[in-house]
Amino acid sequence: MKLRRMFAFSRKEVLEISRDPFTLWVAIFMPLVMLFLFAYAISLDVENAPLVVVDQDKSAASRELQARFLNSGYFMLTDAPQDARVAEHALMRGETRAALFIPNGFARRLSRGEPAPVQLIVDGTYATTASILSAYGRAILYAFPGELRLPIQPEVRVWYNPQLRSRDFIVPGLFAVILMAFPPLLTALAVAREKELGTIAQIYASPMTKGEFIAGKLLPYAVLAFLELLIVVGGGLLWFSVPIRGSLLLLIVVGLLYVVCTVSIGLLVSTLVRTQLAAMLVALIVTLMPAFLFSGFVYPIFTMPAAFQTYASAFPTRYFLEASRGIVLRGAGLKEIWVYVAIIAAYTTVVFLLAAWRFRKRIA
Amino acid sequence: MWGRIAGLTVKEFRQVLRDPIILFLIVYLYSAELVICTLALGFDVQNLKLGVIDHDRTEASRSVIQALTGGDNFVLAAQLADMRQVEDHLQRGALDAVVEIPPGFARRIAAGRRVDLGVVVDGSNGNIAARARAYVIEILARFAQERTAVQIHTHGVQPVLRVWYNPDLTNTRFMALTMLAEAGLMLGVVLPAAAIVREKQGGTIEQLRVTPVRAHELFLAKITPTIVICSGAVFPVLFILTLLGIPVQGGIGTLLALTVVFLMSAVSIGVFVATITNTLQQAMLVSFFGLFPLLFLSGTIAPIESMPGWLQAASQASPLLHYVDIVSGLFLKGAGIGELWSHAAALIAISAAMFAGGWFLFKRQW
Amino acid sequence: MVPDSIVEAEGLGRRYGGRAVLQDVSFQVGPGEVFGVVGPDGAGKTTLLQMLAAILTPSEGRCRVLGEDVRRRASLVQARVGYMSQGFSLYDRLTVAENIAFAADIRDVPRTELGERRAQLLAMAGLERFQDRREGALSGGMRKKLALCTNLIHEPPLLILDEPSLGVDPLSRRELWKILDTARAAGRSIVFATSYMEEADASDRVLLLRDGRPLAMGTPAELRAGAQGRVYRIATAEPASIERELAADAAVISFQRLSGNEIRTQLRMARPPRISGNAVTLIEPTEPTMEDVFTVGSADAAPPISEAHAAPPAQQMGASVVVAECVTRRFGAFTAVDRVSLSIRAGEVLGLLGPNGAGKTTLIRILCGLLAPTEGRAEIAGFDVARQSEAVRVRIGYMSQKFSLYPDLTARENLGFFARAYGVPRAEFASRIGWAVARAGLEQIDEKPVGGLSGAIRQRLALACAIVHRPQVLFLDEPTSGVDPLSRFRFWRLIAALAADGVSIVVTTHYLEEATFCDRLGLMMDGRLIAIGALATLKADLGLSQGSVEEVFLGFIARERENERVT
Repeated sequence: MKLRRMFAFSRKEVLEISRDPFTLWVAIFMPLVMLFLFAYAISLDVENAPLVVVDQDKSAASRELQARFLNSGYFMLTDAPQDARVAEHALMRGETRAALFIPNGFARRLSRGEPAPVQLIVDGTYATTASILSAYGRAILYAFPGELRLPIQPEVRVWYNPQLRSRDFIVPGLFAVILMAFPPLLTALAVAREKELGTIAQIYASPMTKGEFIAGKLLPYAVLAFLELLIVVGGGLLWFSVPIRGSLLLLIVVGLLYVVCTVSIGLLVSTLVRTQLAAMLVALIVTLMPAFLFSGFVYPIFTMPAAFQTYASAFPTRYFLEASRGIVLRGAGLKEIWVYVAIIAAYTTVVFLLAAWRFRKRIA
Repeated sequence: MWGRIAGLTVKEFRQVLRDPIILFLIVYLYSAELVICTLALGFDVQNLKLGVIDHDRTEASRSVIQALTGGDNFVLAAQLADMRQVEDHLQRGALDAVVEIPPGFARRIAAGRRVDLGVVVDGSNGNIAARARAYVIEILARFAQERTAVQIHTHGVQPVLRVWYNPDLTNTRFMALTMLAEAGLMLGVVLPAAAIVREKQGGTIEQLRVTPVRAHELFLAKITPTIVICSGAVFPVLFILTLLGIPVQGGIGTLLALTVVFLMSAVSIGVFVATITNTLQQAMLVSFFGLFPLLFLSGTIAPIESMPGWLQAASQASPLLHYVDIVSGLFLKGAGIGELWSHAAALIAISAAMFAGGWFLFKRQW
Repeated sequence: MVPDSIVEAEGLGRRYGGRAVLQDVSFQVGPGEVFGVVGPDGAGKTTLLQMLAAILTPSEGRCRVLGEDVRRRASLVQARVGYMSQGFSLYDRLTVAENIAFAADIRDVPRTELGERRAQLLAMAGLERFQDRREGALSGGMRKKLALCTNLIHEPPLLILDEPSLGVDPLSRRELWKILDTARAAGRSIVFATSYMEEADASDRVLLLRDGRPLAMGTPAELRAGAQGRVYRIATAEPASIERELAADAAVISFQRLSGNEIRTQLRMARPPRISGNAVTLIEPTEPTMEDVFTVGSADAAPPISEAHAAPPAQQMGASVVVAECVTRRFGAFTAVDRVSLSIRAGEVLGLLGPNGAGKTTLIRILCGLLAPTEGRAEIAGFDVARQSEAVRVRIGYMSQKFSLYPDLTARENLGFFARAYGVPRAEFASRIGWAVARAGLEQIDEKPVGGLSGAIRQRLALACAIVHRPQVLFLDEPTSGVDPLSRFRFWRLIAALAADGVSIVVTTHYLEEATFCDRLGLMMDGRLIAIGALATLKADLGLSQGSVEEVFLGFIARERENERVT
């Protein structure tokens, strides 16, 4: 392996990237767009869900119950019609997430100590929201008409993320997703482009070895991906002020390893395809989709059927995601996350070797 | 003119049906991805791992634990001696939540005095933490009410909770419908964009420009196959859903009509993408990553009402948001056009804006 | 150490799937030898060269390059040869200097020698001034010269070049070969494929391939001797009627009109062509050229020239159909077309010649209405190209450099599509397509996607698509690029037949011998039309009585340069 040939190749790659505004834009700007979008858009706790209240009792008690719902912070009143059908209609049109029916005689029954039925209808379409809303709704109803504080009062403390700020948990997960979404795609496209344009023939008919080719291609894209890592980590920690409890250095070092891994995946993809379009499609299926859906980023892995849990384990994003969340949120050190680091390292080695084995200095 | 459009359209159909990559993408999105996501991601968060620190060890404390772990929400994963062990378990991810029952718990509730229960939730996965917190609060509230009722022989509020449209609170049906919508959006954007940009890249657009073909005729021919294929794909998808045991009911005619409206808005985006890009690679990158915001603002991944106000406003521009509301209205809620017309109107507005923009830009290149 | 044989191939063959694209090729190339490979499209030239460069594994046979086996010691071969693939194989976003530095680095050129070699090569290629220009911004000729430089930077004992002069203007082609001659003088062997027969003629030995099989091999003199007696020169006062008679003779493979009253013809057998004789002043066997060798060698594959194509001569050379007045087009500060005025009559064939970047394509695009002129105006059949584009479009046919067809559609589907796009009435569909197919000589078309067809077929199909609506004017931008001589001849017969129908034709080409097929020639340089007229007129203008098209071309360019220097 001659370093001069390898570096010449890397240098060429850097020049090409730097003169392609479109790719640069995708490489630098798109991760930021994704970061902002995800961090602002994903909030998994429920607040201010639209609620329609149909109060047929119109008593002090019914108003008090209504107030309890609205003061809880989980619900927000959007309408208070007299007609139950209006509420049903609102549910059907998706204008409200829940409807509360307080029937006639509610206050009377309560004062007599009789069971006082109150109906809470939750729109089950969005199951996640629905199950949280029903739990909170029921908790409010159970506690009524007693004091605001129940006789058995849970003192809930949320560790690692006390305000349950979704951003604090989304942003470290995003590091893992974004670095899987862009670097492999850009790498695979770059190689496929050389194949399509025929510039690769020049490489084939030269003393460059495949090791030099792969390493030379990997280096600049790993640097680019590392830059992306710094951008999203910087953006996440500074703009969204996500507190980092563990060592930033550890995060960066593990990130670097992960970046090499994702770029290697891109190289492996590029050895399997001939055209840029095919490269994009394969990248979409083996990197973007699993990274997003099967990494535990939004959808918890443990709820999946066993077969899909195995499937999810086949992609490296979940391991870096665990490591990243561990370091940022839980302040984990190498002692706690070494397993994930080891898996990523092993994964990288295997992918790199596979790519080197698959790459041929041949037209066909 | 109609002869030209027919000729152009026939050619577009042939090209779509002969492109293995495009065909693969269509089949993949409407079958594999749909099935995978429906089967894998449709599950509600259940069986959270609960750790218990019971300092009381009485019948009452055991019944609290029983109330917590008796349902589907929690499983008893560990009995811990004290809070110092919690850190380690949460760090490793071995537990999702821990409940600490203080000494004297039974005595205090028997005396009608208030008890504070310590609950620790692992916040590092917000999705799980939010549920865990809600479940604990609900279960303890019910437990408290039942206890009080027994003691003072009085009844309180009797909550009648109904979950409409999706009583078992699974995500499967919704997920399947979402994937149907997402596939439509993705193909609706990618196919026309690729078809137009390919002509630019291969130089055939020059050849077309010296024919009497007009820009809008080309547009029309480029979008027709996508709309036909993607609205036709609804039927096999409904069949797949039936095979998966997901019941779908609702007006097929309305669905088809509104699907065409939705696809129009998707292809209008695709046409727009094609006018601002010159190579297939650029068009694909712009489409895939342009799709992300639309996906996010659709409410399928995270609820819209928890987003900041400006994003909620922006979400109105996502065709996916409207279409997801349409399909869930049709299939889950039994709604009809009477309830859904506002979404249809929004989709038409989006198409009109994007087509106008695309046409304006394309006209200058034509 | 230089082995006795630079290349030793024995029974070399390659199959893709079950199909043999090349078989049973055996030859040797010695040190300093220039070895040309010619053959029609799809003959297997590229496959052969890729196997020599050890980037394609042979399926059969044995091959040693520079003493190393291309199968087992591929990396050693790859490391030492220079290989220039077809098309542009450099990085368009890198500058000239960066491309050279990159090539030097990956080929282990010692740093100490790099500077000198680079200076020498760039000087030879005339690229010193453009060191900091991006490769993509160079003209086609310059890009090819640069690609050659990057392949010479490591001073390889063997250069393998795949159609190095494809799409390159005659001037740049000369410079390219000057560089190659220097390399040859330095003892390097060259193996190259080409569709220019004069290049083959200048090499030491030539291999003629067809359908993946070697047809003939030898020195140009030997090959020419093989065609002896099958090439005739005819002098006549009525070339048109002679041509019709030649076309009717089944033994005639091809013929070319040399100048005014002289025709050259190639036959399937060694006998004179059958012509009635009254118009003939002279008929005699003549010394075959490589072009003749190729034509004769491809004879049994060539179908007879169908007489149906040669329509009766044009009724009259009518009014001007295309008129351009002071047409100018600027891109920013760059003037691509500079005050061009011309007019073309019905049934006239105008050939546009000029170096790459002279503005030929831009001019055609303006006349087609694809680009608006910055200044000046142009009319087609009385309609303004910029303002009445609708009316113009139905009257013109356009065939771009790339033969823009839909590769995933079959030939018939492409034709049907363009017929509909041009608004051919439904009732006339079958007859129009039939007519276009016959005109383009495509009667036996395959029902498979066009992407898999050979360049010559795609060329004729593109022509058929461009004429399916019976245009009055046909614009052809380098229609014969990369096509073998016999197919080119056939293509020009089709053009002549269309012109005889009264269609005006504007055509660009880099094959200067094709200029003889045009009624008038327009020479372009730096966006200006520096001369226009019939070949004989142009010759007279330069004061030449004899001389080839190339000399006329170079003469006018030299005169223009001289004028520039003076002013």
